[in-house]
Amino acid sequence: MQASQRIGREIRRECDPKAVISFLKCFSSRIERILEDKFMIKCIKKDDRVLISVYSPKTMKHILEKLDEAYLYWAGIQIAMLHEDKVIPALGALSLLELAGIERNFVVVNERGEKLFLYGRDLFKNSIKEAHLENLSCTRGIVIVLNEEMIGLGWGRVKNPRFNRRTKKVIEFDYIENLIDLGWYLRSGV
Amino acid sequence: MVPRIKSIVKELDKAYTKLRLTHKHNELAAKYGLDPYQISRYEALFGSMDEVIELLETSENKLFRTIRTNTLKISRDRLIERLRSKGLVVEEYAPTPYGIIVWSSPWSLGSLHEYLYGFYTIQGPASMLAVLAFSQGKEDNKVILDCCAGAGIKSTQLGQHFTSSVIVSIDINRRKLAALKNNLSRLGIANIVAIVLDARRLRLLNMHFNKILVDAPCSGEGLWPYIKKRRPRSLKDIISRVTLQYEILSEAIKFLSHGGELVYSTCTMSVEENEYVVSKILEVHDTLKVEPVEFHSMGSPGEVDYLGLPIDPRLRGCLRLYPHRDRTEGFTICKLVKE
Repeated sequence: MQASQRIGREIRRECDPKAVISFLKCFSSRIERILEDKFMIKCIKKDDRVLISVYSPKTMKHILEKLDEAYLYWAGIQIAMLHEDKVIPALGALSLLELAGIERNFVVVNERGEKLFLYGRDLFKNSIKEAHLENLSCTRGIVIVLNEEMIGLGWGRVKNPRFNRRTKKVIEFDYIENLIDLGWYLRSGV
Repeated sequence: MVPRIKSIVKELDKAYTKLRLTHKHNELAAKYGLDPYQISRYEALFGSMDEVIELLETSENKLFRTIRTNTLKISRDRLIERLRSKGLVVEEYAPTPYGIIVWSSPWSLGSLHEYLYGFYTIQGPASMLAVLAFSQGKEDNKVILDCCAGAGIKSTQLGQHFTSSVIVSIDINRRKLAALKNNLSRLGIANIVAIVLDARRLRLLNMHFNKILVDAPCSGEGLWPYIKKRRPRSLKDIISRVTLQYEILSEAIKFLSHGGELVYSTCTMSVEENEYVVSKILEVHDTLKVEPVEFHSMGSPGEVDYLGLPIDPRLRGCLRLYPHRDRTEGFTICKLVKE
């Protein structure tokens, strides 16, 4: 591998907001527009991880540019983490997607399902009222979990999905694994 | 120690020689888990032991328990409606545009789903007023500093109150900033930058600010009604807080823009940590003006006559809130404007 390619790859690993935007577009077509209009994206390195945040107003950019990185702890809302070129969504992305409008790759759970999910439990089919799993390959099986009021509760992963060969839509799955839910704010103890 | 700090310590030492301890002070200190000199200092403040006892007798359940609506996600009326439907007895906290008094709740306020959705955050009734002491005009592209942000309760209030401004929140403690980061995510507040820095080294940021909130580290004597937070503080402890507060405020003033506002607040009713500290700053900054802080005729005026300490009379414009008089945590707010 040539030095320039290596450097390019390292830079991409350090900060690749495009990958995050592509991931979020799997849930909402308006996300790019919202980001462009209202927010700026920032990559922040924490130990061996790269965290992606959004901030606004855009004037904050001048402050961040002026600021010595050594003092910066955080800016804005964390929307994702990059790990080995993969996007791991964060809870903060939910408010951003709610703002943009969630259109696909989500499930709506009933009241009992909501309670269980917020306790960190997985979701079984009897808790799911609606499932809109249009393009799971785009999200690597990751879905947004919403309550009946369409409030984002967290992120899940569809386990063992079976697809319709023609439409590529999910017709069957075993359960939805809890990746992270809002209850984490209490359980983390931070 | 710099000469100015030395003179502050000397002045306080001299003032404290006026305090006398009796059997009553020792008895009350033992009963309430405090230092006898704390009782004596508050007797000097109120001028009567009866009021000190009234203050000490005020327990947590006599204070307003309040939450702050996150108006970025929901209106106060809508949140009140939701909470009532869950069996909570709530009403508007009138001095603020987003506060709610919770009279009773079948559940812990930190575990309701509405809390997890980011619809509200738990904040004391007096603490909410510090941010509201800033002028409420149109705030486009201003830079606001929160000097001792901690977990960011007031920072997030600044964030939701001044939505088009940038809030720079600094704290020396990374663990507290981790809590702030989580609060930003839960509340969906995007206009805050968190910086790890000792507030006494603000010059390293090389920035000026239109508004500065100095919610200084203090003795926490205003939290006496909360038994878990009640700590004995010796005279030495108070002096060490005062010198730290003076250093922080003195550094903050240097980076306040002309025409800018600074709100100094503490969760203590101690005169040393409030009017006295601000008075020492006024002595060396003649461009500073004291602006009165008023909320719906709540609270009492600043104290300028205490143990013979030299305190600028303009500091009557500060606002003092007492647990036994105002049903809030003990709190003091002073506002300065740089001309």
